[in-house]
Amino acid sequence: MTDILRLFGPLVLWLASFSAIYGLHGAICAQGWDRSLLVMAWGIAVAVQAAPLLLLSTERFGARAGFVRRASLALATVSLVAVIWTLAPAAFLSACV
Amino acid sequence: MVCLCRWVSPVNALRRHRELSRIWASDPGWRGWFTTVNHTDIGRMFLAVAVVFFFIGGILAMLIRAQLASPRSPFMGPEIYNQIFTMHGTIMMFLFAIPLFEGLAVYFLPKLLGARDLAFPRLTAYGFWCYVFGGSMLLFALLAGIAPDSGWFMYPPLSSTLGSPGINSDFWLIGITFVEISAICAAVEITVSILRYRAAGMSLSRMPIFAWYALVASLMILTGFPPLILGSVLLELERAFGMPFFQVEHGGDSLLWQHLFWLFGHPEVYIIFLPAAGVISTILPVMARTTLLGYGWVVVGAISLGVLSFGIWVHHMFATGIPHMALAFFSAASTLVAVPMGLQVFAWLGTIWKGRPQMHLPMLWIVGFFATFVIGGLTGVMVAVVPFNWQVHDTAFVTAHMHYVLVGGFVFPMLAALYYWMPHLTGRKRFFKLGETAFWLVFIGFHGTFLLMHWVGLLGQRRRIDTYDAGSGWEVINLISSVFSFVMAIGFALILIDVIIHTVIRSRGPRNPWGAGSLEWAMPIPPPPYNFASLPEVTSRDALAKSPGLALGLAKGEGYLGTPRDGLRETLTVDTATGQPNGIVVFPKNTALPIVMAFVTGGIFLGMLIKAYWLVPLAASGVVALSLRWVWGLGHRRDQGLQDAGRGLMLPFASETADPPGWWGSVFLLIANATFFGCLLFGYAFLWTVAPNWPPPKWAVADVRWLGVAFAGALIGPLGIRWAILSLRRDGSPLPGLLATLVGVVGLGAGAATIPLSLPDPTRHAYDATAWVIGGYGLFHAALAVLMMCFLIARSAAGFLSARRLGEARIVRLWVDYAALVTLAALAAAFAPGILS
Amino acid sequence: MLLAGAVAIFVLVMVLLLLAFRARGADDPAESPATDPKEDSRHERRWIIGLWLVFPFAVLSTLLAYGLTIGERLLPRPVPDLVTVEAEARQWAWRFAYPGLPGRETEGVLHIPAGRPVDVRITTLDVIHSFWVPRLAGKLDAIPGHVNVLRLEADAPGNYAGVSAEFSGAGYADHRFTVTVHDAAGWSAFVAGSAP
Repeated sequence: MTDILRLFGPLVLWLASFSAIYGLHGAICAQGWDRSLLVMAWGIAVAVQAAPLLLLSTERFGARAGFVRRASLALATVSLVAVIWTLAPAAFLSACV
Repeated sequence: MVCLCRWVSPVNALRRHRELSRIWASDPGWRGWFTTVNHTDIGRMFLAVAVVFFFIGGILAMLIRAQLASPRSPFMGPEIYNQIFTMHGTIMMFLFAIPLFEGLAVYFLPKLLGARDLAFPRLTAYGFWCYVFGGSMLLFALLAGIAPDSGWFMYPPLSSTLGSPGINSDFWLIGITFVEISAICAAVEITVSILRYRAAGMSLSRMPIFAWYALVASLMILTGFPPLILGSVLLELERAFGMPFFQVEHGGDSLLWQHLFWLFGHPEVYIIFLPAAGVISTILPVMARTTLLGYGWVVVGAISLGVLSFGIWVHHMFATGIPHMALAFFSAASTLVAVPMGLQVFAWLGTIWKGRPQMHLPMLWIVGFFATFVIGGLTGVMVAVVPFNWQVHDTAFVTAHMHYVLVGGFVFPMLAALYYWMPHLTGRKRFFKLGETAFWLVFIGFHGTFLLMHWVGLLGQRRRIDTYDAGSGWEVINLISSVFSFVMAIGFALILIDVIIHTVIRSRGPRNPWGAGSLEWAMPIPPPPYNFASLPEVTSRDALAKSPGLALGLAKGEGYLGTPRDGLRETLTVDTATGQPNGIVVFPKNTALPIVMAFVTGGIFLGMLIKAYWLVPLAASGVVALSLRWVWGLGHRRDQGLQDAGRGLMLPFASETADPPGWWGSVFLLIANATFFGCLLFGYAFLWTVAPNWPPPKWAVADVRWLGVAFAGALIGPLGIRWAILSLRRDGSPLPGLLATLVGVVGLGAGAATIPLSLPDPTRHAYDATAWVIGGYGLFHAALAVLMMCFLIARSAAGFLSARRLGEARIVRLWVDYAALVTLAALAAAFAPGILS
Repeated sequence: MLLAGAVAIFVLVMVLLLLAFRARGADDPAESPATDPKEDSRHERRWIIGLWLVFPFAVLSTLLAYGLTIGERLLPRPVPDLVTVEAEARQWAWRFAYPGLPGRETEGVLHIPAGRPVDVRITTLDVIHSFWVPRLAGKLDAIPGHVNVLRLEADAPGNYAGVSAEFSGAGYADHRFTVTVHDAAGWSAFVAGSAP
């Protein structure tokens, strides 16, 4: 079960940040808040997403078996790329039109 | 003769076969169809029914093409046409594609994993019958001419009382929800089976690749279907009782449906594709006489695809006026999905390169898949580009893209699977070579039908129009499409004939005709009801390739559980990560309970459908009674201790482990359940921020005393059950703890009930309606916990619980904790705005 | 451009597939399958890192950047000389109103000037519809309770066919309208109320 979490966890974290920032975007447009919040949230999401990658590469939290270890690290990297890639528009595009 | 193997069981192979067959056989005669719980039988039944639905859906497609063959065709009017295209999509998606995957997984997974059955055999049967009954409701509607007609996506207000006052939409909402029970059952079943029911020594890295895909697809069903079920429940509540979730004038919003629907609908595409990819990853290396290139990468790709696909739902809503930045998030995510998708394709190409491919019929279908699916994937990337999407959205271009993805990406691989595994199902070899002719007819027919459809879409032909004018420039293309679609239909008919000939003509085939390395071929074909006479121990990914004599050794009883014990149906459970055996499961025998329960469950849905509301509580109490009967028969009244598993291994029965299969099943069912609740809260937040006509006229006012009762319950319930388990561990009486828990969960129920009680009219505003549903959800779970506690107290009194037999109490603990959590969340959601303002 | 790129990728994949069959087709079929682990990891590097990682990322980032830039340019930002019109859909007709010209309404025909940016404010009275004039702009949905704004600009005067592009029940196929684009003189006449 722990191994399954190691494999799926990082991407689920991406999904959570992705949905949260999409929700925040809705709130910003509804309430007229400043868009710099979005860029900040993106930064936080990227920082948070680095955590599973670091944790999974430690002895303590990482998997022991070679296969799960390699796969979980690859998936954590994929999720880090995903959080940077999918939320990048937060910094570059017009917010509410 | 001296046998070299060390663990020889006292029975010889033939006697073992006879005895196991007697233990595992389904009932003789027609009764067997209705009482079987064997995965081989139910898998076959699933596959057969799904294929029947495929042909029904196909006939509807032919009617659509006949109608569109000529401009202003007098063939049928829009009322009929709308029912036909709606039912074509609905049948193909819900009654063909998903059930076909379920059937494939139900039939093959235990065989691939080296087990004798799936985790919950009766649940498999129950799911199957729910599918049959729910599907029959929709077929009845189709034959009676009152089928759903608002498109398979059912957008309100068109599908609600405003656009469809008749019963048509109700058939969809109720019938499909009924069918989805089977998807959820199968997904729980498949997940637990893959994680726990494997051959000894089969660690995660030695799992057959199909199991990985099936695991991802099942987890996706568990998290992808709840939004659809929620949407259907809400829309049916709006239609039946006027609760205005999607009616803008009362604080609802029709966009909420689109979010919920596509939150399901996009992952759905991948739920359909992933099993097909699993089939290709299984068959392709065998056809290329090598192993899969980059197993680890492919697993990474499958998991990435699965999770990433949940972040793209809005790309079906690019034209709904959502701000450009939000579209950009989803556009970026959509393009990102192409990366793991590309990984799959290149891993397959590389596998062919490193092997020595042979052009057997399954390989022909896989090549057909490549040609078709790559086109579908590329048009998919185009559609993910926002401005291009604005131009082609809802045109025939998208219809063409979708069919390239779904037919190319699912039907073609499934036909490869059909021809690859048909010898396994029947034990015969192919007689006439009709299959090759059929391939070319289907392949040419398909591309002839759909390739030009891209073009006519770019010329501006919309989807779902029932007719068009002469002189639009589309006539020739549509005629060509229609002609080729009939070529394709003839191809499919030919495949059917080929399969029938195959099953009728007796020409016995060899045991492992393709020289495959996976375990499903390490048994006699057609498979005996018990799969393996003794259970294998594996040391590599391709166990059969490593030891070609495996099948014989297993038949001789050299594996685990080779000696039948007391007429019990037994298999092993293993540790998820390492594959170490850690328990012996005893399966239930043949029973009519699943079909009876599915029938009674149908009463709930039928009562809703024909508005005979008295039937609903009646059928619901029937379901409760039957479930109690269902679970009462499990477990033992005395500790059984360690049992001989063969090969010198002593293991406990799974019912005497801390995490019995039921515990794992509950965890995954709760994941689906929590997704449902999460979507409900999302819907509430969505309406609050996006829907016009908010805030509501009046927020609910909390009664502090009842809130206190609920809080106390949320504390006492979870603590009480822990106390009970602790007492059991110390050989004390669990009764005080159980009674405390019961009091706690009753308190939860009372707290949840205050939500609807403080809002008298759920039709007033979407807020009132949503709060009712949230409160009702909490109340339902509190009631469920009360029921479980009464059950547990009775079980304790009857002597089913002990320090070794804690499993049931731990299962109930999960549900008590969940009830406490959701009740608190429900109270916060319903009352917080009233307290804050 | 999109199409050419797509065709190129498709051809590449098909060539790789065909070559895969040719590459080993002539070999001795009795030879044992290649499962040498070192060989495998070489294949893995070539196919998975080389082709897969580099290739899609390059294509996709270009495509995404291109799409988003165009998308930004199409947004309805405030500009001078803007004309605003209102489009209201129902089963199965369109009514158009002109906020600059109080009281003016047309049924089934939308009048706009050529060469000037026009904002169409789209909504619906009943079910969901979609406003689509293929030759002028992409489609935008008409959703109950919401007003969506579509920016379009017609270069040349004339009549442009428009349709509803969201399935809306029995009358969907013939749920159409026309956009009449006027030259400067024609538009003045329309504003003055003399043209239909």
